[in-house]
Amino acid sequence: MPKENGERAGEAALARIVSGRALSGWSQTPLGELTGLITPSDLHFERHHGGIPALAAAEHELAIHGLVDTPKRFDLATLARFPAVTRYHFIECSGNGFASTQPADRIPGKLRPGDVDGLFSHSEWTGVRVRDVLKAVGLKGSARWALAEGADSAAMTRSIPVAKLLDDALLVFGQNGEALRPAQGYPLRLLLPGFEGNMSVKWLKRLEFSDAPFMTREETARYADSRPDGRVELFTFSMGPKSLITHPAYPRRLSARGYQEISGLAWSGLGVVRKVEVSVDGGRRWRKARLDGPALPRAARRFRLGWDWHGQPAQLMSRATDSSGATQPGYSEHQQNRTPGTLYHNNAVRSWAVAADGEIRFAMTDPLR
Amino acid sequence: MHWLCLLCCGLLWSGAVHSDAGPSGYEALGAVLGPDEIARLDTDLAPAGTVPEGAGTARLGEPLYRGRCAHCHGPEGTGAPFDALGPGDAVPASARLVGRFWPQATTLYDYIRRAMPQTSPGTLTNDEAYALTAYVLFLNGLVDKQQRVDGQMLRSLVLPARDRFYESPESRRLVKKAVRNRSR
Repeated sequence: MPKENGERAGEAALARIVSGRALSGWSQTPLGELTGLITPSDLHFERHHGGIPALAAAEHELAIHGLVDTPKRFDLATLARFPAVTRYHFIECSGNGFASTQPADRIPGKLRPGDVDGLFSHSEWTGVRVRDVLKAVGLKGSARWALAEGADSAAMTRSIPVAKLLDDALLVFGQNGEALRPAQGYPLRLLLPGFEGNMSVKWLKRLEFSDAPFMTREETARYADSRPDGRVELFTFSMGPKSLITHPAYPRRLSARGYQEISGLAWSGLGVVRKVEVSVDGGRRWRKARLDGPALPRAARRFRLGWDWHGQPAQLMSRATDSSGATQPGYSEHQQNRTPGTLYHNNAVRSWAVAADGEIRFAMTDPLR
Repeated sequence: MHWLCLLCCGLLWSGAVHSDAGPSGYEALGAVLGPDEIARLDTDLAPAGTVPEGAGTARLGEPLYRGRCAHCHGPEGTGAPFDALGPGDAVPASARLVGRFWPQATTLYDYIRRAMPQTSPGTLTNDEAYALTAYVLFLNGLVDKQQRVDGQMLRSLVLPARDRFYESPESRRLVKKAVRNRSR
């Protein structure tokens, strides 16, 4: 008998992986269940610091003031009159990979791709360029930073370098062919391609320009990177090159020997993904995977590689290299530059252990080479 | 009339229209924000820029804390269910306390004024937010109960962890880039 919600027999509706935390919470994209490149809008991960506000688009405005010639406010109808562009970009939370950021022997093996790195999603975004909108207010030459403020109850705020706003930053109102979802910032979101996700401020209501950073709580007491020498690095923006094998991966198991395809997602906040190498023997030997999808900056690509499995234990790994020349570090190398427990910007090589019976478990194992 | 004259007249005419109507491209879009509207929106406190009026002391902040903050941060400010604000026996060494980890005192007022209390953010007056800021500084042993705390005081107050913080190379590069672009 057909189910009332339109699902076909044997199909379960996909859902985000929800943290269950109140007020300041998150949910993750079920990466292991997805094909292709685009994350369906309702499966896009979300992170909020004080809940998801219900905003009326007709009443929403963006105010721009501070070091500008003419402070102005823009309703959405006015913003829509600027030249619009459509771009493909990923958004990744600074803390993505938090489940794997602990001593390697304490990382649980029964993690799905979405548990490991599901604070990453990839969408088609439509909006207007920040640099075009700034022509309407006349940015002063002394402006170096802008405060981006959200209309959520956490009044999420980050200091954004003017150079990024004048480069590829967008004010987006469309996602995957429709309006932004409320969890993604409806009706207006700042999008900073390649930068840690919380800087792409959702429910954007204000940009204030200054000659100095604003030192907000989120960028000082939270999203800052503690180094082993006791110092703390502020304003670590770009998400480095990264890749994750999503097939095969836990909770699936290999059911038959012989040919299979290994596939996964690769991205970099520093440019275009140029190369993904895959190893099935823990990093002794690496082979170049085929890259699927367009080569776009700060966007995701899918990698694919054929593999003959002979029923032996195997250690699957992937390693992305981008157009800036940056490549993924091993886990020990990555952790060397972090105070234990610092979970931001973890782009170390991920791996999956395949047992002789086909069972698969997640692991953070250093590549052998 | 010679065609060249027509062209010249046309150019003069279009020039006149342009100067009467202001910029004709999307540079003209948007409604001008008045000083009152900016003052209503601009509630933040940062190391630079405008300073919100008002002041408070920890003595004034203490009863406010008990009424509006203690249910999340604990009666003594040692946390549970949400963040610890000051030191205590049960507070882990890794807790990012204001007196231990924060680089900048203005951040405290800025966050309290705009984002706290979490269930009714934005409802504190400036004076209340300064008083609560003073109380959290008091919990961290950084002011006494009578000390007046306002925006200028917070700007000049040096927190113990300030010198541990540094700006990333990426950030410094982007700020330099802005200087180059703007001076062209």
